[in-house]
Amino acid sequence: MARELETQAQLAIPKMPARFTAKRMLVAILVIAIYWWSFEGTGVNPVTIIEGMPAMWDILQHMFPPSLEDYQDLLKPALETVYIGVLATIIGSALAIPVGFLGSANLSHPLIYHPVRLVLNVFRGVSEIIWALLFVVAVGLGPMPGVLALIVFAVGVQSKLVAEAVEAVDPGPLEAMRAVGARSWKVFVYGAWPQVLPLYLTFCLYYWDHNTRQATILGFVGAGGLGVTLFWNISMYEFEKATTSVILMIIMITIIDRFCLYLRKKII
Amino acid sequence: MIDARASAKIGEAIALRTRSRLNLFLILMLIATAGLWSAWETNFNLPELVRGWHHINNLLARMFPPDLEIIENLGGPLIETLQMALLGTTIPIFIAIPLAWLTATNIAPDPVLGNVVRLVLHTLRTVPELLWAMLLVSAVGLGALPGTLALILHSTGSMGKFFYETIEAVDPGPIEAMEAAGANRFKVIMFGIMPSVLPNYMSIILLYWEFNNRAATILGLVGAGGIGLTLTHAIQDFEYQEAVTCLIAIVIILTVIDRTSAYLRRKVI
Repeated sequence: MARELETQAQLAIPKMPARFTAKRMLVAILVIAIYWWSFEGTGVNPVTIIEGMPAMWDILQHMFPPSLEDYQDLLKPALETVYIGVLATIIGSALAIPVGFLGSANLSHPLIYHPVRLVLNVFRGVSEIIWALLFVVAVGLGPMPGVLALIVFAVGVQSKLVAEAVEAVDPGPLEAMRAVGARSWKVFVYGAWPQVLPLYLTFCLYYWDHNTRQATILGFVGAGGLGVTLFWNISMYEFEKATTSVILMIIMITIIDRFCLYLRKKII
Repeated sequence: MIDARASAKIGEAIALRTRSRLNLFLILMLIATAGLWSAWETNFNLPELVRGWHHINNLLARMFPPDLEIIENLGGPLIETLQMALLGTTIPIFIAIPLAWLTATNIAPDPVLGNVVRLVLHTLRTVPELLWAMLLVSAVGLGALPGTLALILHSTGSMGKFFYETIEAVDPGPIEAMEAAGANRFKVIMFGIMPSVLPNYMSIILLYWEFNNRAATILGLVGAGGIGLTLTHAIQDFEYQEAVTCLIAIVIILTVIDRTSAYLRRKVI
């Protein structure tokens, strides 16, 4: 009797899941091994970082105080950065509408949207700066390759977003329009687009911000903007001048970031 | 009587429509002006681009077919890229979470300190990782170390921002309840806030893992390790067929990372 009660009590207590199963141990060992390997491979460890500290401190000392003597020379490249960002955003966003339509599974023909999606995958498969590197080789130095690089990447991302937004649209109105005989571009313009528009405007603002940020570094490969100045300053070890450019860059990006946030609040 | 009211309403509606159309027209004009102005200032002209098309064609012709012989040399740089991204995402977690605790307005111990931390995070994320990499390369020399440190700095800033914004959006009820029951700040953070923000944090961390992999492929452009270095050398040596192989490798690896991240996201969240 007593024994029976004991077993019943034992049965009543739910069995705790085992904490250290073989599988978990294996995963843990694997994770530790991967991290160990990564620390080994990249040379990140306290010793190298402490060894690098004096050099970093040295550069920081060179960076401050920032040199203000030729800040007037910075205005032109800074404005160029803004222009690159604005132009790339306008062209990229405009192109994203038709391309997004062609790349949407519900409104486009399978023979069109599969190739379009593939091309878009390649467009956003590599970063802007790599596109800039290639365009600099193709069309020469200057802001032009920078604008082209930003457009290619922005089209890749924004068209995909438009296409996905179109696919997520409420199918009711679209079917109703098709039923009364509307062509697929009309279904897109009058049925899907009004539903996609607010989302689209948010992407555009986001990519304006993003493109301006990217435009500041495209100059590293010679594609115009503030990055060119910055690259030369750092290459020539004129860190006190580089600091001025960096500060200008931070101010510029912060202003555009705030402005986008303000516009977004107005739209939504 | 009713007709008069109705027609007044119709008149109002028409006026409203005219106004909103006028607004739309003005906004479009503003955008067009900004675009044309920028095109003028950046010397961006389409006819010249079309005329220069043969340059692009020429480049494309020299890129294909890709040189597949260098694949065996790509393994090392690719692995280095992945390692940099892994550490560049993991290490910032341990720096950004405490900083987020210091600056999230609902739990920050000191408003002045909170604002200072916020400014530091803002600077860290506003400076692009490529620029951090370049500065660090001039300090500690070429290699994966400055690249990883650059990713750590930039990610700390970006993840820190998302981390504190998530904390600020937490439901204040449970926190107040815990405080009323006498929990200290540490206990509130550990048992009131962290459990509710954890899924968001996982999502942010995965997002930055993807982001850092992408960034790690370009850090080589300034000599900070990874596959970008191989790519830059190939382009500088006019070996465009090798460059294309690198590009294909980059696209493949980033696609694999995206898929893995999407899979982990579904599993974790």
